[in-house]
Amino acid sequence: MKRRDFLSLKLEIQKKYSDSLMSLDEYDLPLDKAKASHLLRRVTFGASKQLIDEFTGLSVGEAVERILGTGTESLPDGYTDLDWLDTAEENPLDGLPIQIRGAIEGRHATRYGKLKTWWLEQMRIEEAPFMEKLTLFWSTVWCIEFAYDTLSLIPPPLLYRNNQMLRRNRIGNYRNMAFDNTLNGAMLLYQSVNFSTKESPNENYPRELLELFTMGIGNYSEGDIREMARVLTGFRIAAHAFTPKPNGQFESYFLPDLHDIGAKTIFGETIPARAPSHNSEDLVKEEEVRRMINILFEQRPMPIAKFICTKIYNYFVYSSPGDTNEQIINELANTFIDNDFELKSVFAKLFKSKHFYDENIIGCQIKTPPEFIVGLERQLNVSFKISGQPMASTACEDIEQELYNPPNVGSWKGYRTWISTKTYPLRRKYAVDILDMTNHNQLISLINNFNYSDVDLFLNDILSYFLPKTIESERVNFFKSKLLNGISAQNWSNEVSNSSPSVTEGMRAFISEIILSPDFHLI
Amino acid sequence: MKRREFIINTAAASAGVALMNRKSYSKERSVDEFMNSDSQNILIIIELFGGNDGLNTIIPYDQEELYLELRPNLHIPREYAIQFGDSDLFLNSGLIDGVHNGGMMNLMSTGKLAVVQGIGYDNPTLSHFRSSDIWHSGINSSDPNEKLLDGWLGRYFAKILNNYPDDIPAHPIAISLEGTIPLMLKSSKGDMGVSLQNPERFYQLGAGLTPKSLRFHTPTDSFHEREFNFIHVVAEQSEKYAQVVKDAYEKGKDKIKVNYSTGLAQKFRVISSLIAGGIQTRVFYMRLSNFDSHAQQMQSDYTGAHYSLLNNLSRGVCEFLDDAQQQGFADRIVGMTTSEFGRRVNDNGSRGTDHGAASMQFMFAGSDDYIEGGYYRVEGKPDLNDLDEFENLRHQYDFRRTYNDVLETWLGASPEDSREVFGDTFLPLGILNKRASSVWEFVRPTENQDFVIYPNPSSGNLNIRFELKKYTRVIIELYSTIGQRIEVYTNELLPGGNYNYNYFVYNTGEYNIAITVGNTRIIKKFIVIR
Repeated sequence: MKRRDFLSLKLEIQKKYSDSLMSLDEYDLPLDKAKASHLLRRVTFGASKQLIDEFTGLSVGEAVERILGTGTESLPDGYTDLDWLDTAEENPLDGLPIQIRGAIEGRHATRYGKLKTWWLEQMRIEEAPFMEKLTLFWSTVWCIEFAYDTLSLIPPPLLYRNNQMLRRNRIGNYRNMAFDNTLNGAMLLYQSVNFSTKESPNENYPRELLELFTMGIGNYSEGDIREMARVLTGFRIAAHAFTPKPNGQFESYFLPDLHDIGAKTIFGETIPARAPSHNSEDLVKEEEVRRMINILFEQRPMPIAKFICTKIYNYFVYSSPGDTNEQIINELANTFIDNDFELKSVFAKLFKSKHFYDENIIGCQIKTPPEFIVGLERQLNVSFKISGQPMASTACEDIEQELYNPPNVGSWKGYRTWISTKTYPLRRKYAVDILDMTNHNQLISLINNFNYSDVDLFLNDILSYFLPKTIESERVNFFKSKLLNGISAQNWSNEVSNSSPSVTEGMRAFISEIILSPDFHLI
Repeated sequence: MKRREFIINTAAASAGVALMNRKSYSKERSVDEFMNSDSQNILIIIELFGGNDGLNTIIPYDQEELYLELRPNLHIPREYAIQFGDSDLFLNSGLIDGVHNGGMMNLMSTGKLAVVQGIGYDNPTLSHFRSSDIWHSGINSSDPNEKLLDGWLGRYFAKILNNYPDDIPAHPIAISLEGTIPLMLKSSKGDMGVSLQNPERFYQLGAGLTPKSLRFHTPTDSFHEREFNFIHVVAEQSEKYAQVVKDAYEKGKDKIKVNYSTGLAQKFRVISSLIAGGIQTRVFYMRLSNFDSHAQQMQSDYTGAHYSLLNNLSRGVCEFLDDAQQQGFADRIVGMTTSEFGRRVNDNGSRGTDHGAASMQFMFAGSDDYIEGGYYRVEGKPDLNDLDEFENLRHQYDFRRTYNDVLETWLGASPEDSREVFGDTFLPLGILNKRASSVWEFVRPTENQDFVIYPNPSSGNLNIRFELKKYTRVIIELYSTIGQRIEVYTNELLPGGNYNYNYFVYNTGEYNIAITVGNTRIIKKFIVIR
């Protein structure tokens, strides 16, 4: 069979079996190379050739277990790279002279930059089990902004602790994630709980907890928000130097005098009033805060399950809000509830499903900025630096996703907002910059990862390495001419063996054209 | 017709509207016809994201006692606000202090500023994101699960640019000065506009971006092909507009006549350069964030976060309008602020305010010929005594009324177009003036007026007298002040001649009579006292 015929036959087959697989039943064939690549593209920041080979032939069960892990693994340790994680500064808004305030804010900004770089580096270097995509996902749900409310900054040590908290909870129980986020230091500052008192309970956080973090609008009343605000009165965070820290620096604490000890009724469930003698941190945490979280899950299980499963679906399957598959969401939500809100059950169900490997799902997701930048770093096996300075964070910021700086607490809008006439040209620029990080030897060794004995076979492999779908033969021929760079097809593999400069020139020209392809932005 | 169908498929909705017992007289325009229309009206939208505190922007001293009582920690004393003449319009001094040319007060004095009080929508949501989506889409859906996927301007432009994206206009129809395209510019045909922040960089990066591959045939069921095509169009636009934007910017950037300050003003500087350089863009969008003032909204000297934001806004607007005036394109400019909601009437004790409902809106123009400046509100409103069940202000005007000022009076929409955009009829508030009224094409003056409405005020009788020059369709409708249509009195084709229509309105109140002839809608206030 000629290559052209083979391609068009393949396209027909794709179209035919597209309709039949809209189900969460387990995909029961071993993963072929295309399916393994798809899984790795979606759940990690890009797969090396070795990783794809390692996953090809596995059952979905094995593959997904290897990717997700147990949830109890040790976490990457920021202390080796970041020497300020226990360093507190004065509150810059505390009436300090302007120069001192500026100096503190400058240190915060520098450390924030280092934290973003550290996190992007974890994304770049991680190996199985993969935590970072899931952690990034959760940080787009439980949003925190480093700079918030016009003038305030969240001290970066708190952002690091927030980041580790999300990583620790990434596939755990969603109730625990909700509880840990509620009393997380960065969140207490960001959502003004840190100011909340029994006289003036602040509604900011409870509203977002219901609307953005658990169940979505339409499932609660304003009264529920007000009652929940009363539960959270009195919690504070030791965010700064020279302020009280009964539980230690960067830990939350409790001021009983500011806590509303009256009874609260949330979704019709009453948390009883407490005696002043029982108004202690441990008791309020367990009997009020944890109880409040539990009430949400007891009273609104289906809205929560559907809301969170929709977020998961949109992030990992297809982000078009008009194309969320209701039947799949319902099935996932039932899985979530049946497993007592254990996240791993939902991720596993989804990533093992026939639906996830459906041809219509492959290649429909627009790469997020870190997927784009870190993904290319991983694929080319380089670290993006200019004059020794790591550039991934700057690049992600420029293409509109700066970590810990969403446009607002409602997160990045995602989907097509990632691609605009502002970001698209910049994506090309940064991709070219990353390609420029490679030298002759690196490109030769990239080629050597594949079977290069036949240029057409190689082309087939390398195209599926960079692009999510099989492409039409005209495009294949175009890419082939770029790759060959004047070398004859017969002679090309010899030239590779000889490590000829015109091979790397061709490879560079080929990748430059890949970068200009719309489907390079899709996974 | 269900609202849901309207949102998901604008094309089907158009068909539905056309069936509404009269023939559609809205006309489709070619891309060039719209972009080159000689008026070249420009709209500037500034979104105050987070929910602007309307009560501390325009301060209600006509209810001073109540205001002070409800805002023990967060009121601005009368002597710190700035009064317009001896009217009951009091502005936050951030709108004036140190602002170029006397700030918003000067705009008010020269008749270029309209302040709309009590703007909102029915059954307000206190969610930023839902409420912002409602404002952007121009659809007030009471079902929170209903997805709002496109915007009011996006739908309008998609209707006008009927061949988009196969036929991409020579100049971007809208420009977002943010990194992304806002929902208001999205449509089922794709983004109706482009985003750019730095024109020079935009140009440097644009060359060679048009993909060598072709787009897939549309429509397609394949998710991959749809997204591929979307990215393809953005790539094409990136290259095509890079040159257009560069040419305009290079030509215009040295024509700037004012020293723009920092913040929002810098975005206005870019806009001014592009307009001066001849760009034909019709809408510019900007966002000013951080209005979500749950805490530390004001300092003890009555300045602080909110004050600074208003100052930032006012500096940008006033510097730009003066620049436009000096450069000679002021009469092409109209602008408006939007914000998803106001704040709670009570302060919250953290020196902040929680999410509210009805709020205020600014509209401004470069020339007082095209705007009726002033303070727009229903007498005695907002009433701090009459709050909704969540202790929020009630609205008196639906937000789509000012949108319709923009669409019908400024951007050339017919009443039929705007009805399609919103899926419902909203009366323009009447703030903007058309460049030239075409009503005299059809109507001969009666007692020196186009339409005579009498008696007014009335005890119920409503008489409308006019003379038609020639055969045309006449629609007479009765509206409440909030903008809702109460009744369609007539909708018929009439030959030239004298007419006198008589109706009866039963309830005491203030009404608007809307009379549409040709594509022009005339609005008359009508008062009934019984």
